[in-house]
Amino acid sequence: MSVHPSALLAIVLMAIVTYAMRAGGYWIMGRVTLSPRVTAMLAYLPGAVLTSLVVPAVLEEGVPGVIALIATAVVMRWRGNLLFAMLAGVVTIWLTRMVW
Amino acid sequence: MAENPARMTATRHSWTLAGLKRGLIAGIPVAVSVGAYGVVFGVLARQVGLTLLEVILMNVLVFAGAAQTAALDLWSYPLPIVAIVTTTLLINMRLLLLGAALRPWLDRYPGRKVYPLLHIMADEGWALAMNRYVRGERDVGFLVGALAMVPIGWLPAVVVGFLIGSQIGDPAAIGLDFAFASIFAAMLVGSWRGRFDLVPWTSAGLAAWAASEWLPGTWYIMIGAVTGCVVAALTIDPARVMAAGTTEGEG
Repeated sequence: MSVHPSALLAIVLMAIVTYAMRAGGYWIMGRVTLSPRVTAMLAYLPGAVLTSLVVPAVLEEGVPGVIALIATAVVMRWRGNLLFAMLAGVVTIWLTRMVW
Repeated sequence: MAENPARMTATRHSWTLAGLKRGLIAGIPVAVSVGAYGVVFGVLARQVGLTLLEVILMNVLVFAGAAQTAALDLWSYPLPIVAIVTTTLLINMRLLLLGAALRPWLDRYPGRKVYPLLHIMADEGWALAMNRYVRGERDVGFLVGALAMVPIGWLPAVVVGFLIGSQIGDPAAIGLDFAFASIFAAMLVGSWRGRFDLVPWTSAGLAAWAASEWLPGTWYIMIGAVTGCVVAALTIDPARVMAAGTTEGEG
């Protein structure tokens, strides 16, 4: 059980930026009001980051990736459960890689 | 524990044990679903080579599942620290909005109580609490209970997942290397608010894909994210987006 120095650095920096966001929104509301357009843009950030992570990963996998993506999306829509959706994607890619 | 109950307007903005209990109980399903994801996170953390102490430190100090999962995806030595921290920042910028939305509820509370509480503010607990706030809940105890159930479900689950992770051999052999893409895709489906999300998300995905083909390293994350937000700013009707965003909490 140990901590790599650069891992510790990464974790501490991640913690600082994350807490700054948690505290910053609350703090700033006492002082300024964000325009609706800026607020709506901020609301898009998590989705835009997630899409940026998903699309290259799926396309790199090719056809099995696309099929697994569809399986994940269908299960997520159906059950609304992250764990089941992830398992669907993992099992699907495992199976499609065998036949593709 | 209200600072000075006599100066409070009725029971608004006050803290009761009954409220705390209500929040904890309402948070049980949240803790279970967060716990299921926590197990997955623990397994993945083990797979990419974090030590148990590093996993515990990350989950106590950062405590942000989506950003941490994205960080794991980038976690190979030498660590791309700038990319990890930038990605964390981009994913967690939404927390600005969650914190801002809590202002009316906590306005009467002293900062020394509010600021430590904000550290455990996560999407799931926040969505549960705000959903009740909209329907008239004003007890700060409820908010504390709802928020607390997220780390209560998450932290032990991550440790369990980490310990299970050692039993799993080659992750790619059973498709586990696709787990990140799969989780991110599921999160996207869960945060879908309506057709107005389609154009910004597609733009982000295409820009990220193009950048991943032609640029080195992890620039594609930043490029995709910025493209998505700029396209969103140019195409959306802010009022409609915010109305949709506040009625459905993201999972």
